[in-house]
Amino acid sequence: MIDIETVAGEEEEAPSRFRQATLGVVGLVAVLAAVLATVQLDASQRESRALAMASRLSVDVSAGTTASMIVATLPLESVQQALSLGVESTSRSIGALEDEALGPLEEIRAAPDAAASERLLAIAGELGEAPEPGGPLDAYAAGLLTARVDDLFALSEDQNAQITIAEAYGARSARGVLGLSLLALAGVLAGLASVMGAGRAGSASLAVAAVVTALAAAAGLSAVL
Amino acid sequence: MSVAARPGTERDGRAVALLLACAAAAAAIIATRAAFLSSDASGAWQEALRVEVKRGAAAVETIRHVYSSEARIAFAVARASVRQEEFSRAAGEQTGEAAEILAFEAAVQQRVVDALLPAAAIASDPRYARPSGGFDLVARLADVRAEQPDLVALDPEPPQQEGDDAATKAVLLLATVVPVALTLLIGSLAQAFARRRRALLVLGTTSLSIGATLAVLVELMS
Repeated sequence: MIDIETVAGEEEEAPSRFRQATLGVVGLVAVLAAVLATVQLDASQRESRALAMASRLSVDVSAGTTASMIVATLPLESVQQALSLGVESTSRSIGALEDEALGPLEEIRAAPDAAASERLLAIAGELGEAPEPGGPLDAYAAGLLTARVDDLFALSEDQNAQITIAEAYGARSARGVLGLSLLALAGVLAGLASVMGAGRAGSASLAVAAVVTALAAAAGLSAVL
Repeated sequence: MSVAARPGTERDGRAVALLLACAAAAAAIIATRAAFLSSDASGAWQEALRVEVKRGAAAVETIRHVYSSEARIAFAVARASVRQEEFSRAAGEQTGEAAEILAFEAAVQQRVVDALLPAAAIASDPRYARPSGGFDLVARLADVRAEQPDLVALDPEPPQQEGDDAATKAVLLLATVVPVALTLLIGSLAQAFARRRRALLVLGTTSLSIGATLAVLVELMS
Protein backbone atom coordinates (compact mmCIF):
# COMPACT_ATOMS: atom_id res chain seq x y z
CA MET A 1 0.00 0.00 0.00
CA ILE A 2 1.33 3.38 -0.93
CA ASP A 3 2.04 5.79 1.89
CA ILE A 4 0.64 9.12 0.74
CA GLU A 5 2.78 11.04 3.17
CA THR A 6 5.93 9.34 1.89
CA VAL A 7 4.98 10.06 -1.75
CA ALA A 8 4.16 13.67 -0.88
CA GLY A 9 7.47 13.96 0.96
CA GLU A 10 9.37 12.56 -2.00
CA GLU A 11 7.59 14.99 -4.32
CA GLU A 12 8.56 17.86 -2.03
CA GLU A 13 12.18 16.65 -1.81
CA ALA A 14 12.77 16.52 -5.59
CA PRO A 15 11.49 20.06 -6.31
CA SER A 16 13.39 21.31 -3.25
CA ARG A 17 16.70 19.87 -4.56
CA PHE A 18 15.96 21.35 -8.00
CA ARG A 19 15.12 24.67 -6.41
CA GLN A 20 18.32 24.59 -4.34
CA ALA A 21 20.39 23.86 -7.42
CA THR A 22 18.69 26.65 -9.40
CA LEU A 23 19.18 29.20 -6.66
CA GLY A 24 22.75 28.04 -6.19
CA VAL A 25 23.50 28.58 -9.89
CA VAL A 26 21.88 32.03 -9.79
CA GLY A 27 23.95 33.02 -6.75
CA LEU A 28 27.13 31.68 -8.30
CA VAL A 29 26.39 33.66 -11.48
CA ALA A 30 26.08 36.83 -9.37
CA VAL A 31 29.43 36.27 -7.64
CA LEU A 32 31.21 35.39 -10.89
CA ALA A 33 29.70 38.44 -12.57
CA ALA A 34 31.13 40.69 -9.85
CA VAL A 35 34.56 39.12 -10.17
CA LEU A 36 34.57 39.16 -13.97
CA ALA A 37 33.34 42.74 -14.11
CA THR A 38 36.24 43.82 -11.91
CA VAL A 39 38.76 41.89 -14.01
CA GLN A 40 37.31 43.26 -17.25
CA LEU A 41 37.26 46.85 -15.98
CA ASP A 42 40.87 46.61 -14.85
CA ALA A 43 42.01 45.15 -18.18
CA SER A 44 39.99 47.69 -20.16
CA GLN A 45 41.41 50.61 -18.20
CA ARG A 46 44.97 49.34 -18.54
CA GLU A 47 44.43 49.03 -22.28
CA SER A 48 43.11 52.61 -22.50
CA ARG A 49 46.01 53.92 -20.44
CA ALA A 50 48.60 52.12 -22.54
CA LEU A 51 47.06 53.44 -25.76
CA ALA A 52 47.05 57.00 -24.40
CA MET A 53 50.67 56.64 -23.28
CA ALA A 54 51.67 55.28 -26.69
CA SER A 55 50.06 58.32 -28.31
CA ARG A 56 51.86 60.66 -25.92
CA LEU A 57 55.18 58.98 -26.66
CA SER A 58 54.60 59.28 -30.40
CA VAL A 59 54.07 63.02 -29.90
CA ASP A 60 57.36 63.16 -27.98
CA VAL A 61 59.17 61.29 -30.74
CA SER A 62 57.71 63.54 -33.40
CA ALA A 63 58.52 66.74 -31.50
CA GLY A 64 62.06 65.56 -30.70
CA THR A 65 62.72 64.51 -34.30
CA THR A 66 61.41 67.78 -35.74
CA ALA A 67 63.23 69.98 -33.22
CA SER A 68 66.57 68.18 -33.58
CA MET A 69 66.28 68.41 -37.37
CA ILE A 70 65.66 72.18 -37.19
CA VAL A 71 68.52 72.72 -34.75
CA ALA A 72 70.94 70.56 -36.76
CA THR A 73 70.08 72.19 -40.10
CA LEU A 74 71.00 75.74 -39.03
CA PRO A 75 74.72 75.17 -38.34
CA LEU A 76 75.02 73.00 -41.45
CA GLU A 77 73.58 75.71 -43.67
CA SER A 78 75.71 78.35 -41.96
CA VAL A 79 78.86 76.27 -42.43
CA GLN A 80 77.95 75.89 -46.09
CA GLN A 81 77.63 79.65 -46.46
CA ALA A 82 80.94 80.21 -44.67
CA LEU A 83 82.69 77.63 -46.81
CA SER A 84 81.12 79.11 -49.93
CA LEU A 85 82.68 82.46 -49.07
CA GLY A 86 86.04 80.75 -48.55
CA VAL A 87 85.74 78.98 -51.89
CA GLU A 88 84.92 82.28 -53.55
CA SER A 89 87.98 83.86 -51.96
CA THR A 90 90.20 80.97 -53.06
CA SER A 91 88.81 81.15 -56.60
CA ARG A 92 89.58 84.84 -56.69
CA SER A 93 93.14 84.18 -55.50
CA ILE A 94 93.64 81.51 -58.19
CA GLY A 95 92.23 83.84 -60.83
CA ALA A 96 94.56 86.59 -59.63
CA LEU A 97 97.55 84.34 -60.31
CA GLU A 98 96.47 83.95 -63.90
CA ASP A 99 95.83 87.65 -64.58
CA GLU A 100 98.90 89.84 -64.50
CA ALA A 101 96.96 93.12 -64.84
CA LEU A 102 94.24 92.62 -62.26
CA GLY A 103 95.97 89.95 -60.22
CA PRO A 104 97.57 92.05 -57.45
CA LEU A 105 94.36 93.97 -56.69
CA GLU A 106 92.19 90.86 -56.78
CA GLU A 107 94.62 89.06 -54.47
CA ILE A 108 94.27 91.91 -51.99
CA ARG A 109 90.47 91.71 -52.37
CA ALA A 110 90.43 87.97 -51.76
CA ALA A 111 92.26 88.02 -48.41
CA PRO A 112 89.48 89.67 -46.29
CA ASP A 113 86.90 87.12 -47.49
CA ALA A 114 89.25 84.27 -46.59
CA ALA A 115 89.59 85.68 -43.05
CA ALA A 116 85.82 86.29 -42.89
CA SER A 117 85.19 82.68 -43.94
CA GLU A 118 87.28 81.40 -41.00
CA ARG A 119 85.42 83.62 -38.52
CA LEU A 120 82.04 82.64 -39.93
CA LEU A 121 82.93 78.94 -39.59
CA ALA A 122 83.55 79.52 -35.87
CA ILE A 123 80.25 81.41 -35.55
CA ALA A 124 78.42 78.62 -37.40
CA GLY A 125 79.84 76.09 -34.94
CA GLU A 126 78.34 78.05 -32.03
CA LEU A 127 74.84 78.13 -33.50
CA GLY A 128 74.08 74.51 -32.68
CA GLU A 129 75.32 74.62 -29.10
CA ALA A 130 73.28 72.79 -26.53
CA PRO A 131 71.70 74.73 -23.64
CA GLU A 132 73.50 74.58 -20.32
CA PRO A 133 71.82 72.70 -17.47
CA GLY A 134 70.04 75.10 -15.12
CA GLY A 135 70.01 77.84 -17.76
CA PRO A 136 67.11 80.17 -18.55
CA LEU A 137 65.50 77.78 -21.04
CA ASP A 138 62.68 75.58 -19.68
CA ALA A 139 63.43 71.90 -19.25
CA TYR A 140 61.06 70.67 -21.96
CA ALA A 141 62.46 72.91 -24.71
CA ALA A 142 66.00 72.16 -23.54
CA GLY A 143 65.23 68.45 -23.83
CA LEU A 144 64.01 68.91 -27.39
CA LEU A 145 67.17 70.83 -28.34
CA THR A 146 69.42 68.13 -26.90
CA ALA A 147 67.46 65.11 -28.18
CA ARG A 148 69.79 62.62 -29.82
CA VAL A 149 69.05 59.68 -32.07
CA ASP A 150 69.57 57.25 -29.17
CA ASP A 151 67.06 59.18 -27.06
CA LEU A 152 64.49 59.11 -29.84
CA PHE A 153 65.05 55.38 -30.41
CA ALA A 154 64.50 54.78 -26.70
CA LEU A 155 61.23 56.73 -26.82
CA SER A 156 60.17 54.75 -29.86
CA GLU A 157 60.87 51.49 -28.03
CA ASP A 158 58.84 52.71 -25.05
CA GLN A 159 56.01 53.49 -27.42
CA ASN A 160 56.14 50.00 -28.92
CA ALA A 161 56.15 48.53 -25.42
CA GLN A 162 53.00 50.47 -24.54
CA ILE A 163 51.30 49.22 -27.69
CA THR A 164 52.22 45.65 -26.76
CA ILE A 165 50.76 46.21 -23.29
CA ALA A 166 47.59 47.65 -24.82
CA GLU A 167 47.20 44.63 -27.10
CA ALA A 168 47.69 42.20 -24.21
CA TYR A 169 45.16 43.91 -21.96
CA GLY A 170 42.80 44.36 -24.88
CA ALA A 171 42.76 40.59 -25.36
CA ARG A 172 42.16 40.12 -21.63
CA SER A 173 39.33 42.62 -21.70
CA ALA A 174 37.76 40.78 -24.62
CA ARG A 175 37.92 37.49 -22.71
CA GLY A 176 36.33 39.25 -19.74
CA VAL A 177 33.49 40.49 -21.92
CA LEU A 178 33.09 36.95 -23.28
CA GLY A 179 32.83 35.66 -19.72
CA LEU A 180 30.23 38.28 -18.79
CA SER A 181 28.20 37.47 -21.90
CA LEU A 182 28.26 33.78 -21.00
CA LEU A 183 27.17 34.65 -17.45
CA ALA A 184 24.23 36.63 -18.82
CA LEU A 185 23.25 33.56 -20.84
CA ALA A 186 23.64 31.34 -17.78
CA GLY A 187 21.43 33.67 -15.76
CA VAL A 188 18.73 33.56 -18.41
CA LEU A 189 18.90 29.76 -18.58
CA ALA A 190 18.70 29.46 -14.79
CA GLY A 191 15.68 31.77 -14.75
CA LEU A 192 14.11 29.68 -17.50
CA ALA A 193 14.76 26.55 -15.48
CA SER A 194 13.06 28.01 -12.41
CA VAL A 195 10.01 28.88 -14.53
CA MET A 196 9.82 25.48 -16.21
CA GLY A 197 10.16 23.66 -12.92
CA ALA A 198 11.72 20.31 -12.00
CA GLY A 199 10.81 18.48 -15.17
CA ARG A 200 12.99 17.22 -18.02
CA ALA A 201 13.09 20.64 -19.75
CA GLY A 202 13.81 22.53 -16.56
CA SER A 203 16.57 20.16 -15.55
CA ALA A 204 18.15 20.38 -19.00
CA SER A 205 18.03 24.16 -18.89
CA LEU A 206 19.62 24.18 -15.46
CA ALA A 207 22.34 21.75 -16.57
CA VAL A 208 23.19 23.95 -19.57
CA ALA A 209 23.19 26.98 -17.26
CA ALA A 210 25.74 25.24 -15.02
CA VAL A 211 27.93 24.34 -17.99
CA VAL A 212 27.79 27.90 -19.37
CA THR A 213 28.67 29.24 -15.91
CA ALA A 214 31.72 26.97 -15.87
CA LEU A 215 32.70 28.22 -19.32
CA ALA A 216 32.31 31.80 -18.11
CA ALA A 217 34.57 31.01 -15.15
CA ALA A 218 37.14 29.58 -17.55
CA ALA A 219 36.96 32.70 -19.71
CA GLY A 220 37.42 34.82 -16.61
CA LEU A 221 40.42 32.77 -15.53
CA SER A 222 42.02 33.20 -18.95
CA ALA A 223 41.45 36.96 -18.61
CA VAL A 224 43.48 36.98 -15.43
CA LEU A 225 46.33 34.67 -16.40
CA MET B 1 0.15 23.69 10.16
CA SER B 2 2.40 23.34 7.12
CA VAL B 3 5.99 24.46 7.14
CA ALA B 4 5.22 27.23 4.74
CA ALA B 5 2.51 28.64 7.00
CA ARG B 6 4.68 29.12 10.13
CA PRO B 7 4.94 32.84 11.01
CA GLY B 8 8.73 32.56 11.62
CA THR B 9 9.21 31.13 8.15
CA GLU B 10 7.25 33.98 6.60
CA ARG B 11 9.34 36.52 8.49
CA ASP B 12 12.55 34.84 7.41
CA GLY B 13 11.31 34.74 3.83
CA ARG B 14 10.67 38.46 3.88
CA ALA B 15 14.10 39.03 5.45
CA VAL B 16 15.75 37.08 2.64
CA ALA B 17 13.86 39.12 0.05
CA LEU B 18 14.88 42.34 1.78
CA LEU B 19 18.52 41.21 1.97
CA LEU B 20 18.55 40.34 -1.73
CA ALA B 21 16.96 43.67 -2.63
CA CYS B 22 19.49 45.61 -0.56
CA ALA B 23 22.37 43.67 -2.09
CA ALA B 24 21.09 44.28 -5.60
CA ALA B 25 20.66 48.00 -4.91
CA ALA B 26 24.13 48.28 -3.35
CA ALA B 27 25.69 46.45 -6.29
CA ALA B 28 23.95 48.75 -8.76
CA ILE B 29 25.03 51.92 -6.94
CA ILE B 30 28.64 50.79 -6.59
CA ALA B 31 28.87 49.61 -10.20
CA THR B 32 27.42 52.90 -11.45
CA ARG B 33 29.89 54.92 -9.40
CA ALA B 34 32.76 52.74 -10.68
CA ALA B 35 31.60 53.33 -14.24
CA PHE B 36 31.65 57.10 -13.71
CA LEU B 37 35.14 56.92 -12.20
CA SER B 38 36.35 54.83 -15.13
CA SER B 39 34.95 57.42 -17.50
CA ASP B 40 36.73 60.17 -15.54
CA ALA B 41 39.99 58.22 -15.86
CA SER B 42 39.65 57.92 -19.63
CA GLY B 43 38.82 61.61 -19.89
CA ALA B 44 41.87 62.58 -17.82
CA TRP B 45 44.20 60.43 -19.95
CA GLN B 46 42.83 62.03 -23.11
CA GLU B 47 43.33 65.46 -21.53
CA ALA B 48 46.97 64.50 -20.80
CA LEU B 49 47.36 63.57 -24.45
CA ARG B 50 45.85 66.86 -25.59
CA VAL B 51 48.20 68.78 -23.30
CA GLU B 52 51.16 66.76 -24.62
CA VAL B 53 50.23 67.59 -28.23
CA LYS B 54 49.77 71.28 -27.42
CA ARG B 55 53.04 71.46 -25.50
CA GLY B 56 55.01 69.73 -28.26
CA ALA B 57 53.50 71.83 -31.04
CA ALA B 58 54.13 75.11 -29.16
CA ALA B 59 57.76 74.22 -28.39
CA VAL B 60 58.55 73.01 -31.89
CA GLU B 61 56.98 76.10 -33.46
CA THR B 62 59.02 78.41 -31.20
CA ILE B 63 62.21 76.49 -31.98
CA ARG B 64 61.43 76.69 -35.71
CA HIS B 65 60.80 80.45 -35.43
CA VAL B 66 64.08 81.14 -33.63
CA TYR B 67 66.38 78.61 -35.32
CA SER B 68 64.96 78.83 -38.85
CA SER B 69 63.49 82.31 -39.33
CA GLU B 70 65.33 84.60 -36.91
CA ALA B 71 68.67 82.79 -36.88
CA ARG B 72 69.00 82.78 -40.69
CA ILE B 73 68.59 86.55 -40.88
CA ALA B 74 70.95 86.94 -37.92
CA PHE B 75 73.62 84.88 -39.68
CA ALA B 76 73.17 86.93 -42.84
CA VAL B 77 73.81 90.06 -40.76
CA ALA B 78 76.83 88.37 -39.15
CA ARG B 79 78.19 87.43 -42.58
CA ALA B 80 77.95 90.98 -43.82
CA SER B 81 79.25 92.42 -40.55
CA VAL B 82 82.30 90.13 -40.44
CA ARG B 83 83.11 90.90 -44.09
CA GLN B 84 82.74 94.61 -43.38
CA GLU B 85 85.21 94.33 -40.49
CA GLU B 86 87.74 92.36 -42.52
CA PHE B 87 87.51 94.70 -45.51
CA SER B 88 87.87 97.72 -43.21
CA ARG B 89 90.94 96.22 -41.51
CA ALA B 90 92.49 95.34 -44.88
CA ALA B 91 91.75 98.86 -46.19
CA GLY B 92 93.64 100.30 -43.23
CA GLU B 93 96.70 98.22 -44.17
CA GLN B 94 96.70 99.34 -47.83
CA THR B 95 97.18 102.61 -49.70
CA GLY B 96 96.06 104.10 -52.98
CA GLU B 97 93.69 102.19 -55.26
CA ALA B 98 93.77 99.01 -53.20
CA ALA B 99 92.67 100.93 -50.10
CA GLU B 100 89.82 102.56 -52.06
CA ILE B 101 88.56 99.24 -53.41
CA LEU B 102 88.68 97.61 -49.99
CA ALA B 103 86.95 100.60 -48.38
CA PHE B 104 84.27 100.44 -51.06
CA GLU B 105 83.68 96.73 -50.34
CA ALA B 106 83.49 97.52 -46.61
CA ALA B 107 80.88 100.21 -47.33
CA VAL B 108 78.86 97.77 -49.43
CA GLN B 109 78.81 95.23 -46.62
CA GLN B 110 77.86 97.94 -44.14
CA ARG B 111 74.86 98.81 -46.34
CA VAL B 112 73.87 95.14 -46.25
CA VAL B 113 74.05 95.18 -42.47
CA ASP B 114 72.02 98.38 -42.27
CA ALA B 115 69.37 96.92 -44.59
CA LEU B 116 69.01 93.60 -42.74
CA LEU B 117 69.39 94.76 -39.14
CA PRO B 118 65.83 96.14 -38.65
CA ALA B 119 64.45 92.70 -39.59
CA ALA B 120 66.92 90.79 -37.44
CA ALA B 121 65.58 90.64 -33.88
CA ILE B 122 68.55 88.57 -32.69
CA ALA B 123 71.30 90.55 -34.44
CA SER B 124 69.88 93.93 -33.35
CA ASP B 125 69.71 93.02 -29.65
CA PRO B 126 73.06 93.31 -27.81
CA ARG B 127 71.83 90.82 -25.18
CA TYR B 128 72.33 88.02 -27.67
CA ALA B 129 75.70 89.15 -29.04
CA ARG B 130 78.76 86.97 -28.50
CA PRO B 131 82.41 88.07 -28.57
CA SER B 132 83.01 85.93 -31.66
CA GLY B 133 80.40 87.93 -33.58
CA GLY B 134 77.84 85.15 -33.24
CA PHE B 135 74.63 84.95 -31.27
CA ASP B 136 73.24 83.23 -28.16
CA LEU B 137 70.29 81.44 -29.74
CA VAL B 138 69.46 79.56 -26.53
CA ALA B 139 69.00 82.86 -24.68
CA ARG B 140 66.80 84.12 -27.52
CA LEU B 141 64.73 80.94 -27.44
CA ALA B 142 64.32 81.24 -23.67
CA ASP B 143 63.11 84.86 -24.03
CA VAL B 144 60.63 83.96 -26.78
CA ARG B 145 59.31 81.03 -24.71
CA ALA B 146 58.98 83.34 -21.69
CA GLU B 147 56.63 85.57 -23.71
CA GLN B 148 54.03 82.78 -23.53
CA PRO B 149 54.24 81.47 -19.97
CA ASP B 150 50.97 79.56 -20.25
CA LEU B 151 52.42 77.42 -23.02
CA VAL B 152 55.67 76.86 -21.10
CA ALA B 153 53.64 75.82 -18.05
CA LEU B 154 51.79 73.08 -19.96
CA ASP B 155 52.33 69.78 -18.17
CA PRO B 156 50.53 66.54 -19.03
CA GLU B 157 51.57 64.77 -15.84
CA PRO B 158 48.85 66.16 -13.50
CA PRO B 159 45.95 64.95 -15.68
CA GLN B 160 47.83 61.68 -16.27
CA GLN B 161 48.09 61.18 -12.51
CA GLU B 162 44.43 62.14 -12.07
CA GLY B 163 43.51 59.46 -14.58
CA ASP B 164 45.68 56.86 -12.86
CA ASP B 165 44.12 57.67 -9.48
CA ALA B 166 40.56 57.53 -10.85
CA ALA B 167 41.26 54.21 -12.58
CA THR B 168 42.68 52.66 -9.43
CA LYS B 169 39.71 53.89 -7.42
CA ALA B 170 37.26 52.52 -10.01
CA VAL B 171 38.78 49.03 -9.91
CA LEU B 172 38.95 48.98 -6.11
CA LEU B 173 35.36 50.19 -5.88
CA LEU B 174 34.11 47.56 -8.29
CA ALA B 175 36.03 44.91 -6.35
CA THR B 176 33.88 45.75 -3.31
CA VAL B 177 30.89 44.42 -5.30
CA VAL B 178 32.30 40.89 -4.82
CA PRO B 179 31.26 40.64 -1.14
CA VAL B 180 27.95 42.24 -2.11
CA ALA B 181 27.49 39.61 -4.82
CA LEU B 182 28.41 36.99 -2.23
CA THR B 183 25.39 38.27 -0.32
CA LEU B 184 23.25 37.43 -3.35
CA LEU B 185 24.66 33.90 -3.35
CA ILE B 186 24.08 33.52 0.39
CA GLY B 187 20.58 34.97 0.02
CA SER B 188 19.82 32.48 -2.73
CA LEU B 189 21.06 29.63 -0.55
CA ALA B 190 19.00 30.99 2.37
CA GLN B 191 15.95 30.83 0.12
CA ALA B 192 16.80 27.26 -0.80
CA PHE B 193 17.79 25.87 2.60
CA ALA B 194 14.98 26.76 5.01
CA ARG B 195 16.56 24.96 8.00
CA ARG B 196 19.73 27.08 7.81
CA ARG B 197 17.97 30.28 6.80
CA ARG B 198 18.68 32.22 10.03
CA ALA B 199 22.41 31.50 9.96
CA LEU B 200 22.63 32.31 6.26
CA LEU B 201 20.75 35.55 6.84
CA VAL B 202 23.30 36.59 9.44
CA LEU B 203 26.14 35.59 7.10
CA GLY B 204 24.57 37.47 4.22
CA THR B 205 24.01 40.60 6.26
CA THR B 206 27.64 40.48 7.39
CA SER B 207 28.85 40.07 3.83
CA LEU B 208 26.70 42.99 2.67
CA SER B 209 27.95 45.18 5.51
CA ILE B 210 31.56 44.36 4.67
CA GLY B 211 31.00 45.18 1.01
CA ALA B 212 29.22 48.44 1.77
CA THR B 213 31.85 49.52 4.32
CA LEU B 214 34.69 48.77 1.91
CA ALA B 215 32.90 50.72 -0.80
CA VAL B 216 32.55 53.75 1.47
CA LEU B 217 36.22 53.49 2.50
CA VAL B 218 37.33 53.34 -1.14
CA GLU B 219 35.09 56.26 -2.03
CA LEU B 220 36.59 58.34 0.75
CA MET B 221 40.09 57.39 -0.35
CA SER B 222 41.94 60.37 -1.82
